[in-house]
Amino acid sequence: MTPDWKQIVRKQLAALQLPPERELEIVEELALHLEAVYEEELAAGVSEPEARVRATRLVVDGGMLECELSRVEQPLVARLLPKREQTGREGRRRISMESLWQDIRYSVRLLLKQPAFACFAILTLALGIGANTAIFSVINAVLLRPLPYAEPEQLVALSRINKSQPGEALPISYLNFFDLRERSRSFAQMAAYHECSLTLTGGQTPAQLAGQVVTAELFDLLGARPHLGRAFTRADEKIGGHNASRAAVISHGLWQTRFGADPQIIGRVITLERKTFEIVGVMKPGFQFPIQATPVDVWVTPALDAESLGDKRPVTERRGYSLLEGVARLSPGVSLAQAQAEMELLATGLEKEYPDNNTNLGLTLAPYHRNLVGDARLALWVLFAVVMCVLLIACANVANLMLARATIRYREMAVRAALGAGRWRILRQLLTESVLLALLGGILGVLLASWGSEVLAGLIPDEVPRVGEIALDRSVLVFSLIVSLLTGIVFGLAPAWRAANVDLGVAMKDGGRGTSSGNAGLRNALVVAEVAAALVLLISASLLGRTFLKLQRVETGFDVNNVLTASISLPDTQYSKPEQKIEFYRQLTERVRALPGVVSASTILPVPLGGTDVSGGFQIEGQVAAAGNELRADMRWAGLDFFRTMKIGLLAGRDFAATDDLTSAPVVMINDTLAKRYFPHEDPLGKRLILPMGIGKDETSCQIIGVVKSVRHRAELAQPVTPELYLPYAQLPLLGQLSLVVRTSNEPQSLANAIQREVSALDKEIVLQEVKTLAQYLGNAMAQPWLSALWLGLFAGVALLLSAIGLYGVLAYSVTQRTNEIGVRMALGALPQDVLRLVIKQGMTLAGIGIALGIIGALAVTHVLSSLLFDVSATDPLTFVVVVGALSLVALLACWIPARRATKVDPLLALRSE
Amino acid sequence: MLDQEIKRGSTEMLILALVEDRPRHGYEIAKLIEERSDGVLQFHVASLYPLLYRLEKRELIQGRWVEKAGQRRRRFYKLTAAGKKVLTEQRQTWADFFAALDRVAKINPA
Repeated sequence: MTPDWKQIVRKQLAALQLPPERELEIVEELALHLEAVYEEELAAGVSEPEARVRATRLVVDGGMLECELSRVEQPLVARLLPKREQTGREGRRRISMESLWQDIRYSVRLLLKQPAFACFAILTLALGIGANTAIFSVINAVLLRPLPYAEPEQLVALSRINKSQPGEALPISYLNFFDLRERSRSFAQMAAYHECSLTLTGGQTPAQLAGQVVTAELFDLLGARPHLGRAFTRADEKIGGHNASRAAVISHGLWQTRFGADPQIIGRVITLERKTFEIVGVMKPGFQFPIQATPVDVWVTPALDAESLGDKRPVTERRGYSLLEGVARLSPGVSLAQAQAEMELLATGLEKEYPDNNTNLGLTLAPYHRNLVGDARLALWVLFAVVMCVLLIACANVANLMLARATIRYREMAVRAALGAGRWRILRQLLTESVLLALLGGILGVLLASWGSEVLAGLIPDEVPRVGEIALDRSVLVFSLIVSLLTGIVFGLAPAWRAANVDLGVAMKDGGRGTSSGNAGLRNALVVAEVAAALVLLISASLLGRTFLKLQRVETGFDVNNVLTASISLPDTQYSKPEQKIEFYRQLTERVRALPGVVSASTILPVPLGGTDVSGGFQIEGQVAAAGNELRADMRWAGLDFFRTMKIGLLAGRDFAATDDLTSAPVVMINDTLAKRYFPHEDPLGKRLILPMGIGKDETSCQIIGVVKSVRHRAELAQPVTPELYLPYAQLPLLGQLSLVVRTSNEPQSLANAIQREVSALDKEIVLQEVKTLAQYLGNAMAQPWLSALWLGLFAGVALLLSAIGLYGVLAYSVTQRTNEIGVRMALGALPQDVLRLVIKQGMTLAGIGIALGIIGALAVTHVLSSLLFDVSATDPLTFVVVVGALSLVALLACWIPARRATKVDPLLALRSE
Repeated sequence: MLDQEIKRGSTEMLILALVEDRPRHGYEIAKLIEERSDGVLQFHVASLYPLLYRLEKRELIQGRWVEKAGQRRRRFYKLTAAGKKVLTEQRQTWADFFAALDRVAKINPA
């Protein structure tokens, strides 16, 4: 039966949507041509199917006809465009715009014709671009966007360091800060601050407010103007300065929620911690300082701390009492290094003047932004490098596909060139295609990211500052656009360049099959690079994964299950005497113990795994510490029954008893780490430690009565266990603050209300804060390593998948190209397993080179991760071996499928097609 | 860019020359080019017909459907006056070009 030539031609023209009468004419004319070719072939003795194929191939040629016709005829799109005179520069620009438009239309049609290719490429790119957009939105919010203060680059953070153990940033005391403020010349302004939790009473129910004690210049220094009223002045730092009351500035949020946005708020007197404060200012909406997950509600001045407590001097007058963090603005023209040099000079001066309190005093400056972001910085950049890697792998994959297509379209390009299309014109057509793909991938990627960054923000621990600011704003979208364009050019350039440099003679004679030798080399190189990159990511992810697993297996040393904690803060005004605090907590603990469902209850400060630790120096009585070699330990104030409640084992001596009170001789318990470090060859029991604190005195000599098992109280689980001292709260009630720890027989959170009722029964103005289970604290401590491992693992998985697909693609294509060769081999007696071996060898050689390069890359790269690892070396051999093994298996699988297909080649068919 | 001009010009000239002495249809033109060049020059359908339409649009050739007894109607293209002028010009240009080539590179076009 004669083929319907008109139908065949009409199909090729369909997309052009020519005017119907013109289409009829062209269809008729071309159909006649095909028919003539067909009959001629038959006459020459060619078989009917082959003659049909040869004739059809003249018009079914990857869109060539359509493309060429669209330049001469008037397709629908061109007819719809308004006609205009095309003269001069305007005309040229118009022609160039039109040909660009033509390129775009042609590209769209090509993609629509190959939906599988288009979908795969777009999805791959969307994954890569989406991951980049999501991570960049976090980096933009956390690291790049300037802080919301005036000229934020001039802001520096000031902290104290211990010169004998530098590294850890420590707080500064009021007196040292006041001296620095007077003496330094490097700064335009200096301020210091510390966190405080303030109970607001009077009016409705008492409320717990997030407060911050700040020195007078803070708001000026940040360039922040109040919405109403004024900022602080130096006079406000003292009690009864400007006002009879102390001064307070409140946040816009508190003004609206608590005070109904009362415009007459300035001058209103409120009660915080049972002291009166006058509201002197309301900050503007959105103002935050410091930037943290829970925004500050109220700022007060050091006047809060400037009151004598019983017989003790206020903390504002004690040089040894450090609790402030410093922030300063560099004077114009002063560099950070100059300011640092001045701080070192001033520190030496203060050390000489006050040797009692300032031994080893060092001061250190850091850009405020960097200081704020801290550890998150490294993790984020690592993550960014990882997603960039994933994107490059995605690019390599799509480039590979494009190269394969370029080989098939070789003849199309040759004909275009023969018809006079310049190299630039062909290059532009192909780049238009790849950029179009990348932009479509980018759009989908941004959609993925808008969903992903929400998930991401929810998963990032609260400690990372500015997480709330994560958004797909303009700079993120611009970033995505640029990444998409670059992506399109990166993966499109090599294929386009090759196609644009067609050798006419070779191409025309080659019957459309094209030459692939040059492309094959490039494609192989891309696959090798993909495998190498995937290996680096997999090894990094596995190292972090092992870290997480090891952390999970870290013994905290105590039982975190079924323990509820809640912190309580007694106001100094009402509870100024030690006996009052001790009595409150004694009664409260007894009441809580009596609650149904409570197994045991005690008090502790600071709460285990809470992230706050108190580290202090001490001396062993009878020993003179070498200069600069201070003995240090973490200190915790415990109530009765603490060790039983936490299930911490007593190794020697006795636990605290009810008889250890203010009237009896001071005692202390230590952990075995301290015992081993400082009493290596003797029994610590009965020895005395001198602590630089006391009730009504500056130091206390305490006898060691017990040794307990070392536990991990610090939230940084990866850190080694520190020496630790436990002091009985009943003998040293220095602060009004303590945390309850309650072991329950059922769900711990269910007791929260009952405990609050007991607290209110003792003092109705006291509110429980931070009601959390120990398991929650432990979960928070694990969050960061878990997230690092999770995200890196996720992206490494994507990378593995993409590179496996890449390897598969190259081999599958190669098998198609080598069908003839394989056919010949099989005709000559090669067995299926020989063919299998041939193809697998080709694939595994590529994978092997990639793996070798990947190992070198991983060895070079993983040390960056060192600080994120725990108990795993950055070059852990086991991880390397396992990951290489796993990757090899996946590669083998990717080779297996095309290799199997190769064994199915029918030698007869393969040879006949030649 | 000369290269491009030559390519474009040469294909145009080939077609114009083939329809100079009598009107011909597309298939005939393709066959003639292939035969007379001993297969060195080949015209693909996808480029031949669009080129014919372009030349027609520029009024260098004119197409007309012709029905002959016992045959299906075919579209024949004949050279217009404007086409003749362009062909003459192109022939001269090519002659000059080959003469120049010969003087410089000692080639002797057939």
